[in-house]
Amino acid sequence: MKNYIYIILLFLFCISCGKKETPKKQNTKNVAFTLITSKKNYTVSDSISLEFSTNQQNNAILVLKNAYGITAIKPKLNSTKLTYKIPSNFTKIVGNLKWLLVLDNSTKLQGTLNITPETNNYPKLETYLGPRSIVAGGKDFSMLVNAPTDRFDNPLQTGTKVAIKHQFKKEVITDTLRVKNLVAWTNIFSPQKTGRILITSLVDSTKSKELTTVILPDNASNFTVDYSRNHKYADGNQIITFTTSTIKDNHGNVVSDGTLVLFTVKDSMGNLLQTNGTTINGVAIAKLLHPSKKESWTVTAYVTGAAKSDPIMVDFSSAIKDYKIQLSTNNRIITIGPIESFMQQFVPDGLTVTVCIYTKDGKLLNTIKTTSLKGIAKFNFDENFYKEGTYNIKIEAAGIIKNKVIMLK
Amino acid sequence: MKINKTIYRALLLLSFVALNGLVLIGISAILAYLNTGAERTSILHIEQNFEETYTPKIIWYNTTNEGREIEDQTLQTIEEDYKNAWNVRNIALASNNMYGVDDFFTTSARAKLDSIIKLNAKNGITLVTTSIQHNPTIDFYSADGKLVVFTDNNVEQYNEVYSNNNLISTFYSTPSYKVMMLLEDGFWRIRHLVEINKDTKNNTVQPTKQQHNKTIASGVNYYPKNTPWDMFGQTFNSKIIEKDFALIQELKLNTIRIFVPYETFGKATVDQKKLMQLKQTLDIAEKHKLNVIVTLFDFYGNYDVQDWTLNHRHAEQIVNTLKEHPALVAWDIKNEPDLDFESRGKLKVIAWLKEMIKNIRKWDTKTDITIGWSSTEAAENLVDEVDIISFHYYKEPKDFLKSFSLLKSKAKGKDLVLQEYGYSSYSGFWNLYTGSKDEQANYYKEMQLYIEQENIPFVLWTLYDFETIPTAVVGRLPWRKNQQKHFGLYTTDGQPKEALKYIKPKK
Repeated sequence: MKNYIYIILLFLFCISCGKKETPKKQNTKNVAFTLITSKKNYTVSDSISLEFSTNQQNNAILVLKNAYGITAIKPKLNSTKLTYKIPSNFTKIVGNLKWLLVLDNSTKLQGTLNITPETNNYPKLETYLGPRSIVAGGKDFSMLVNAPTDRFDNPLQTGTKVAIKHQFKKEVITDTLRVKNLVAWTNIFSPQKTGRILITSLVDSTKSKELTTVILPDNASNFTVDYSRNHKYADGNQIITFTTSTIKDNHGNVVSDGTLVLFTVKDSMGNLLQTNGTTINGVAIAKLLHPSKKESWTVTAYVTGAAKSDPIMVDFSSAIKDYKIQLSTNNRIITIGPIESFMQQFVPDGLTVTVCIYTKDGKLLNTIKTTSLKGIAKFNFDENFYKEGTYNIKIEAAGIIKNKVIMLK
Repeated sequence: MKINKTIYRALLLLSFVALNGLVLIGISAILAYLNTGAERTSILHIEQNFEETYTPKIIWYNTTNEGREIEDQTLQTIEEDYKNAWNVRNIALASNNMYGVDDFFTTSARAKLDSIIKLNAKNGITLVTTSIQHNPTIDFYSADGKLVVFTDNNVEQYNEVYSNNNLISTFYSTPSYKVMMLLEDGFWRIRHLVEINKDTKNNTVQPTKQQHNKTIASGVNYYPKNTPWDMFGQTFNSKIIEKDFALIQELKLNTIRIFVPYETFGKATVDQKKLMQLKQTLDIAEKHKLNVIVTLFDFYGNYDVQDWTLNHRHAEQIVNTLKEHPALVAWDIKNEPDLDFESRGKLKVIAWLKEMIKNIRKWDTKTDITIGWSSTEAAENLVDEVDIISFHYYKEPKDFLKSFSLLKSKAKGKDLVLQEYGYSSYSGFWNLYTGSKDEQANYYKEMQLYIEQENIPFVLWTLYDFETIPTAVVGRLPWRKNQQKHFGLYTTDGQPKEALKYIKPKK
């Protein structure tokens, strides 16, 4: 008896181990459907139901696909009528909505609905403006792109009107754009003058916020340069100031503050000196030290890559006419001066004086530089360095050169 | 007593060391924890090397537009981000989880996707979707370079709908979309996606097959005897291949079948060196007047819809490189895919094969396409899609004619090729010394008789015996491995076996 129980248990165990049988599917090949709902075009505010009639009661599934995703819904059955209520997640998204009626993994019917956006119920308006700063003159532009949507965030239909207004100084311009490729756009070109353009758009009754684009001056046009100085003498001490005229672009707008102006000075030897300044209200100022000898400068100013001034000449006359040289008893200390300036005053401290020492044969031994103090410059030829003998020396101060033969003892 | 003391000392010392160790581990764990997190450079969204996971074909048809002229580099970034947007969306719909969607959809667009995903999660709906080809045209690109609108025409999409993990529907669709994308903090994000009516000029016409006059008559499945299932890469040796092909030519056979392993060939980005080796193999075959059947996707067995685009890029590179080669006779999509029916699901494998045939036909309209089915029964699948029906036969020779005539009746007049058959001459412990070279000879004698009688093109398995068989081929079991080693017409020493005398070329 006990064995029977074991056998039964074993038998039960065995059948429970068997492969799970798939439920027999009823033959659905002959099930046919007809679409009752004939409407194909809807707006997002509509609720959509699809009705089908069938020849045999079943639970066919409706698969829905739109641009964002896919879902599957079950029918409401009413004998041989199947009703599918499309969920709002799908009715509120515009574009084509594809549906497939599926029974046992075979598509029985399929079709496409078209859902269009609302046209006038509280649309929303996104505006994109860029670039936000452009240059004056009518060549540069800001592009205004409007992407209007309905209240469910669907882009509006092609051809929808978008009104735009833009104001510059006293003028307000109105224009009408039409949606194409999801957007309505236009280019707003810069006027001749600097300032700001304020822009706004309007679709149905919805307004956008205020958008601004700044009009900056165009590139500088040619200008002139002038100078001012305390006196005309080349004393190596005073400062000369260069000033540009008010620099403007081709449309009469003063260039932006901070425009860099480069001043180049060519002296009579062909050497180039440079200085620079940035503009304030279109005027740039730069300064240089007077030369220490008679000079003739040619000054040109540049706004690099855009504009330049005509060159101007600046002449400096010599401040120092002559100077004296005194030697000590052993000729080893040379005193130059007193050096007098244009009013017989001592030259300001710091005038460069150069002495070159040559051997008898003309071989350069050394060049010594010093600066004047209270009108006097001193040189000392150390006996440890310069042996006794005859040397040629050349002294240069304020462009005046003097040669001398000295006998060091 | 003294021993006790020593034990105590040792224990004390050890516990001290252990305590120190634990403290160190603790500190390092804290430090390691504090060092985790995103790299600071990730804020910049600079170039990152992701492994490619989604590579549908994207062909820009027209990039001139009313707005600003688009720069190549921008177009490339847009393409990359658009592709990513599709990828994250496909993944989100498959898992009903919004992970990663933030990066490629704007807040408003995300809300729509989120509502659908919530609905699907509630109803237990999951989706497996992929797109195969996109054909975008630029409509508008804004002057500040931050907004783009384009039309993606006839996107080839494949969709599977699951309800509580049961497949309820599979369908293809080719919708067109208007897409608006915005450049936000370094990512192009989808702002609007609207499905529109199809473009009237259809640019996804399936090309028709052109005739070509090469045929498979008689041949062998080929691997070099020392490197079976591992022909390319380091082990590639053109001299050995040259010698073997000369031998095949001497046997008056005209066809060889070779295999391209999917993963070792670099998946979606095919290893150019290996591809050149494959081409070289075909060059050598041409020299010896051999036609080559190239079997793709060897050792691949996933068939996941998410893998499709990667598989397509892999095949595309190989097909485009070799399609004009004079030695090429047929593309064999996959070796014995029916063996994966049970583990992967027949529908999944069939869908994969169908799509692959469609794509290869797009790239190469001349070469025949076939599938190396493992049996005559399996070869009844996809008869309409393939150009040549290939089947393998390893059963009793006496049943061959019956199986063959059954298949022939269902072949709708298409050419049939016996693409693999053979007999192992293995005689050893694992088959109780029952096999022999004579038996192999008898097998071929009988088979060749039927083949000649029915005039079937044949490609036998195989030229040489092999010394080693990789585990991936037949598994670890020694009776299988040893059996597999002795299918050759020649021994590993290059000595011909008795069966060779029955191998005569097809007239």
